[in-house]
Amino acid sequence: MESFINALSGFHWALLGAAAACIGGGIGSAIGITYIANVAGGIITEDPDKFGPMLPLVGIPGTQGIYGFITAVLVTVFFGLLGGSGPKLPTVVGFQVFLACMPVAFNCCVSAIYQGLTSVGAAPMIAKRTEEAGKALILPALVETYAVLSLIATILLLLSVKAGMG
Amino acid sequence: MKHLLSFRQFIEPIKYGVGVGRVKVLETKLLSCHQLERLVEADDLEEQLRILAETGYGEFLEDVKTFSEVEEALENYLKKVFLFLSEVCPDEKALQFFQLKYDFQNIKAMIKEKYLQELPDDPFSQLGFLEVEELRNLIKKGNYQEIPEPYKTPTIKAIKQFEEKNDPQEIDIILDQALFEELFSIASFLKNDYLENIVKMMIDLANLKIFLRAKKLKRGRDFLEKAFLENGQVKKENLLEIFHEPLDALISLFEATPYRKILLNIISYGKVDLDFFDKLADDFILEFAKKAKLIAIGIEPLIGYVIAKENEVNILRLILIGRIEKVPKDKLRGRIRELYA
Repeated sequence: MESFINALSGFHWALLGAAAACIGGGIGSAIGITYIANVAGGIITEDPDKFGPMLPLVGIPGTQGIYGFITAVLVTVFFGLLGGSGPKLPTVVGFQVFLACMPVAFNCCVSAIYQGLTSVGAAPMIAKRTEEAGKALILPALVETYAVLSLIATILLLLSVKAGMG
Repeated sequence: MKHLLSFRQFIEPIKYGVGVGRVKVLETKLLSCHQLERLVEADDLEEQLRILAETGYGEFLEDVKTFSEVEEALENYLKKVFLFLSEVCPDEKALQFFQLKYDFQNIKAMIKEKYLQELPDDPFSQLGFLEVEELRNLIKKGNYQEIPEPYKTPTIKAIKQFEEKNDPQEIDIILDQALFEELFSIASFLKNDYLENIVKMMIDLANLKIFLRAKKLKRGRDFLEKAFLENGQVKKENLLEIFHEPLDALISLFEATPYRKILLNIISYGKVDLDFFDKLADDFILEFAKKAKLIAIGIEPLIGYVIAKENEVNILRLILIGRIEKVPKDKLRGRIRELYA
């Protein structure tokens, strides 16, 4: 295990964690939005007035990508990666940062894809009754809960790693 | 768990997303019971056309006056629906699924035209995959080898059988069997349970009709044996076993199946109403097809929509032609199929 951790420097581990969070959230969001955007495209083709009510549904799987980006920003800010103190980061701390990024990296990727699928299921509600757009949004919003929880977990873990550094 | 991890659910939103989105909006524009009632209540064709002018049928039915003009307009409308399916469904076989029956219907009529000099009741349908005049020429000149598959083999077989036995019924039997075999193979090819179930129901109901027709026209068991369609859920042996028994035995045989209700409705005092059977069979398949409305993504909503449109066009044909031929309103109401909406 020790040799595995020492394979990279602390700076590299932290970069890897930040990048993984950003990539995971980004991939998930891109796939999730593609799913619902396809259906929304069909609905809007037949009824352009549905553009407004459909937009929140198309946008909602995009939040996970933002969470990934927030995580990457927090890592760079908390551990001074931009300020030049990155290379001085101890290997163990860097590895801890990497682990702290994992909830967002994985959870946001998977939840965004499934949120896209849930949105696809909710879209016919808007296609048939525009006034039900609010209800249609609630179903995929429930999937969002777990992406938010993973972001909170990552932030708390990053704070605890930073507190441990003194 | 199996469903959650199936690869299909991750591909279908990309494959069918746009089509399903369009269909979900178009489903809201299907004719309602209220509109149908207004059409039945209308005093003449002109009034019916005024009602339909508010719908997608308006542009197709403008200025139609005769039976054949109504037929042509509705056929053009269905052509547009098929074109829509070809645009939104990446599986070419899905369109073929709907076109097959028109092609086989044309081939039957063309063979009869050639050998029996029998002109078809209805003009050849333009809704098939094969170009009508080209096919007609091939059959007239006997160039059967140039007919593409899956039509070539059954056409040659039907003509050979007819020439041997001189019985026009052979043409219908062989081509019907080929049609249902092909429908089943398309459903299997698309690996879709919904479509497979629809085909199996169509086969079962066709077999039931063959059985009832054979009984009604007092045909022998051999007719049923020869005309029976494979791949359904109803077994040939079971039907043959009760062939000489009263019709109640048929109801008992289907006691635990969904077809029982249809049989109870068409058999009364040992007599069978085959026209009513057709209506109930169509309603039965439509009822199953409606399940597609609950499927969020996949080929099902697209197939369900085209089935709904075909059904709607059939209802409209009945109502419009019924008005031209001055069929009483109540009689017309009794013939109208269920709606998908």
